[in-house]
Amino acid sequence: MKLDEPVAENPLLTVEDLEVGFESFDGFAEVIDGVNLSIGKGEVVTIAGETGCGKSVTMKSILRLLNQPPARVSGEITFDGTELLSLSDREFERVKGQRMSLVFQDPMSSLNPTFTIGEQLTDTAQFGGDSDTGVVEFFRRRFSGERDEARERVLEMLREVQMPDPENIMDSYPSQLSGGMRQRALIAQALLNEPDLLIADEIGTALDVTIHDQILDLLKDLIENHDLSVLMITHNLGVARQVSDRVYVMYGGRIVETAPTDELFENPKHPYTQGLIASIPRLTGDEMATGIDGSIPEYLDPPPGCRFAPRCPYATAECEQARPEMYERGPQTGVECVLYDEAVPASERPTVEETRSHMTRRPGKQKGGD
Amino acid sequence: MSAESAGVLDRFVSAERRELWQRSWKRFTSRPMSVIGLGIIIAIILLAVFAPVVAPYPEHAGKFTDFSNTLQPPSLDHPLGTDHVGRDVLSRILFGYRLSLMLVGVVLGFGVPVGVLLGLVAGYYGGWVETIIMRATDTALALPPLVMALAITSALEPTLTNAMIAIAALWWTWHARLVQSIVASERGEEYVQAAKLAGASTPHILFREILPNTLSPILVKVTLDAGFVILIGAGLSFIGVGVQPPQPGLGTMVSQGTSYLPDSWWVSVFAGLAIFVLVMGFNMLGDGLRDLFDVEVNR
Amino acid sequence: MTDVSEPLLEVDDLEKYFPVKSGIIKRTSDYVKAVDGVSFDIERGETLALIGESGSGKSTVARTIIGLTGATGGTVRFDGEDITNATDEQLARLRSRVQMVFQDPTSSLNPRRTIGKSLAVPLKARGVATSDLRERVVDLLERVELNDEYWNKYPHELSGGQKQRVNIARALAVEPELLLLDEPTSALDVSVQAKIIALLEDLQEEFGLTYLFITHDLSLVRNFADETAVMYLGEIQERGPTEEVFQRPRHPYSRALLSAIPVTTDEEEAYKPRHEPLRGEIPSPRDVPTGCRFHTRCPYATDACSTDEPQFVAVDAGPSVRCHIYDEAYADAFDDVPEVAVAAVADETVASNTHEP
Repeated sequence: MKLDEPVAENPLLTVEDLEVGFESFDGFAEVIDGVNLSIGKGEVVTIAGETGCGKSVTMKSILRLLNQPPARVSGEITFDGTELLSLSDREFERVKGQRMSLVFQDPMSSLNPTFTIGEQLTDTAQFGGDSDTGVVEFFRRRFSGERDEARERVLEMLREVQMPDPENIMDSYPSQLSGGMRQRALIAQALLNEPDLLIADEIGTALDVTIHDQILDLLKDLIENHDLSVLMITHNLGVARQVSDRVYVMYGGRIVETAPTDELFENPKHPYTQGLIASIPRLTGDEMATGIDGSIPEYLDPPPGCRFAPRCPYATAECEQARPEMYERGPQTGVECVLYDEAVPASERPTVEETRSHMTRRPGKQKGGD
Repeated sequence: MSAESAGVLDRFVSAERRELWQRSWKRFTSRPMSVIGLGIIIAIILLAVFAPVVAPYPEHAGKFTDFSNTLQPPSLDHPLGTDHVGRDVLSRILFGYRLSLMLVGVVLGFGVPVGVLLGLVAGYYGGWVETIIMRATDTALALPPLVMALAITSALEPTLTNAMIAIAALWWTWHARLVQSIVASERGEEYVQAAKLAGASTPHILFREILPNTLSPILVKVTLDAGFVILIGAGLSFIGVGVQPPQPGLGTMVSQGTSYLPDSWWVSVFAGLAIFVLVMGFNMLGDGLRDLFDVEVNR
Repeated sequence: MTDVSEPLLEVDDLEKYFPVKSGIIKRTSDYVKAVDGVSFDIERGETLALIGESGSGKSTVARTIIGLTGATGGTVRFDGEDITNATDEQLARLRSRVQMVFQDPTSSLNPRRTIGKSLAVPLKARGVATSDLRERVVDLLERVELNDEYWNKYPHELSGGQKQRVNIARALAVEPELLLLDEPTSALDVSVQAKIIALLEDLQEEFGLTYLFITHDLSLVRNFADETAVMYLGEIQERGPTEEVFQRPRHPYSRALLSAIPVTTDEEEAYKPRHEPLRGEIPSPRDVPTGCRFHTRCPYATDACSTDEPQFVAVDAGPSVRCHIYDEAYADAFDDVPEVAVAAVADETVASNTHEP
């Protein structure tokens, strides 16, 4: 049976049949190829995948951050009943400014180095979501009591993100802050418009382990306190497991597997997910898999069938011909792999351990890329 | 590219390299401006090289007078008219290009290698080596080439050779600055350290590892510089300290033609246009190359 | 264990201070103590993992060993020879026996030179004849499981993992004994990282290489390193057999590092020490805290920690730790954290896995 999106109950954001391609000098690159996903109200959903899997492009097409052309975006993106792709830029900016927020991966490049943290965040608090404030209105708000109120609100938010010494930080420039503090400032900024949907792109990955750990703890608290719906983008499956309710695993511009977090990690189904999990070094000291052979698909000329087929230890001729459907394998659980067709006996489906043994050291090295 | 022609080329370059060149060429040709610029420069160089053959009156390039034919407007016999002593303007422009291009060749041919070498050494070694070279550069940079050329030519003799020496004596500074700033940042790159660890000699690191990474900006600068040098040369000739009559300098021609403006406009205007087209060509090519390399770097 | 042979690399009390210059006349006003008294040995054929976050000085240690930067104190001995601040002649010899692989596979390859040319550099420097170069380069490529197609490629045509293989091949060209691996996989995806680690393991076995493996990712070294040293602000805080450091992380910082790793199974979750998020930020190495350098973030810090510098002492005849918790003189101050050193792991696992004393 085919898994029907949206799988989220009470969906806030649904993405249907998203296709994104890029005109390039060497031809048309078909990067996102039919992505379906949904985020329920109050749900934390992660898109996990490695470099080049299309997770960032998916996020950017939801937020209209891609230049068209060269990008070509089609499909349906619905946010709380409103179809986003058909909105004018202005209407979209309003929805985005008032109801969505984005926290970027790189805290340094998303803060303006020439303004203090206080100025930037107060501006966001006062003008966020209003791209069409008139000049008169701008000066009225900028130089009135409203400014002080906004400043108060920012201060409060900085306290909430556990920024050390918030009063002082308000008057500091981004370069005077540590990476962790900048990340906190960005999170505070994202929460100022009280968004319904928070999109977090590789949050904290540029930071040191112990600081990353603090940020994740903070994020978990904030999600709970603000009743946020979150779309997380990460390459780190461990982070996905720690934070999210549900996970989408992307490979080659497609969702290859989706499941509630516990199910995904206890019982990963797609050979790619299994290979990925097996490649993560284990604290228990079990032998680590030796990685997945081959490299990510060439988007200019992607494999015709399953895009993972050229690297899959279980691929058959069938896999190379047609794209498998997303088979439903339980509540909110789907796998895009022919092994999960009802006709295939359960015994033929690989376990993680089998996949791991396919990928651990074998006598006779195989040639190939990474 | 067809299989047969590929076979011949294979002996010199690998398929991958050829593909790389093809891609760069394709990207380059996708910008009409740079292609036009390159076309103009190639055309002018060819015209200048073959001036004795293509010019309608090659003998008019030098000391020649035909007082029965002075200041004739453009006609079939003289497409761009004749000057005050009856010489064909078109022919003189073609020979004038030779002098302009020679000036470019000498100034950049001396200035660029010297500047690049000094920049490489200063940027790579840093410390007092850098201090000495760069302070000298700064001092030289403070002198505008035009003023320096004026000073030298008026102190010695107002000839093209002296003007060339004067400009070339200052032109290296720009390249020294440019290369030094690139090298100072490349020096810390891991590929340089890796080469060092691999046991590469300093000349190898300077010329084989670092220099290739500075070539794109140098090439862009050289192309844009060419236009500048031509303008400076023309300016010197215009005020009479560059190319001396009867040699057909483009600036000299503009200058001489001004005496007969506005009635006999063609001498100054066509000589001026000739300068304009050549400088334009270099600038268009330079801009195109800059865009091309920017793309390459960011890829 | 017999120890007739001396360690291949002995680092003793290594110091690297970078002067901070300020003012118009560039007077040295202060020092960044990037490496401040680091000591360790590596036996032939073994791997030492040097773990640390940014600012810990872990990369500076490697750069000082190989002479990319000079030491300001202490000694480095390689195969018995003192190579601290080596002369040019010493360096030339040293670099045919010690090589380094950098963190960023992209920036460590010259973008304008083909893979073949980059790999030929160390071979030429060793006097390999031009006519043999191609063959030797192809040999190197095969050693890292690439084929001769890469000879003519440019770095931008390769994936990150392939580039890192080339970097490893270049380091191997001089047939070194010791490889300094400076975060060789941190720029790569996990599935590629796993392949590079597997390659490094194979190479170690095949050529008897000795590794100094520098990383910020503790989870990587579990299967890879014989010994693990945890660095914080220029000092080693804990050093011991890898199994010990994993099973019973003693220093509060090691425990925090271990507990911060986002893992993917419940089994591993049980393996981690109790989650103790650290307070605050990593201090700047320019302004290191007094006393124990970790005290500003340590969940167990006492007043004494901010004034008295802890000694680096062996605990239980095993790993060495720099922490007052293990100093009897201070034992009274820590009575509320009795089990701080013991991770939630069954003792028999420890017994079955630890090295012989």
